[in-house]
Amino acid sequence: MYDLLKEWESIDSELRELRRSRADWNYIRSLPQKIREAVEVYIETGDLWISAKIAGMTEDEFNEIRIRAGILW
Amino acid sequence: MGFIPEITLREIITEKPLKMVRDLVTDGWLTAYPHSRELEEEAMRLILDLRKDPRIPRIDPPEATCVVLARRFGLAVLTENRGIIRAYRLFEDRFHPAVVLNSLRLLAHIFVRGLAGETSFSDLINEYERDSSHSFSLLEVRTVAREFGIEKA
Repeated sequence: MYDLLKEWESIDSELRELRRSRADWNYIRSLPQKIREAVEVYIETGDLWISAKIAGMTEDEFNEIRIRAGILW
Repeated sequence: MGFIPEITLREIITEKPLKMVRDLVTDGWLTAYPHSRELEEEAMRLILDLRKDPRIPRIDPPEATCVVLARRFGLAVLTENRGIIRAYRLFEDRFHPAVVLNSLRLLAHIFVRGLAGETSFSDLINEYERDSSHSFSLLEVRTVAREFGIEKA
């Protein structure tokens, strides 16, 4: 069980770092504040639904923003 | 035949996913499952119950609703929600008879059964990543490849 939890922690950490480092921050900074905050939530958590709801969008709409921001993880 | 709960269907509004839903519906593979208060309450109970375990990340209402339906009808749930995926790994019996897969594990099933045209698992993954603009964790790819006995990921 400990190994499984360590593996999950490593996967979360790997993906969070990729989202942070590969994101197009110029694009993100150009977004309206509400959407920018939601993108930052996504970068930190990887959770699409709650990020979309913070942005006031559907998951599908927010997914387009995610792709435009260069966040593929 | 698969079901897409109304709450999940409402999240789909852009061209490419809508076209996919349209094609699946017109070909007879997919139908919408109507929302109800009773379904919502069961999904919320699942969310709150699993939230008590700190090892399980947040589970969202659309995913929880899919699990509730899959448990009722013995179906497979396809989701990228880490909470559902991890809860399933920890408490598979509580999901029975539902089966939960993320796209990486679904690709592995397709590959090991010889249903993909690609000659390597990595080619299949690369094609999916290009198509979906979603990339997998390298660590998870290696783990899943090992799990499915795919030597060269």
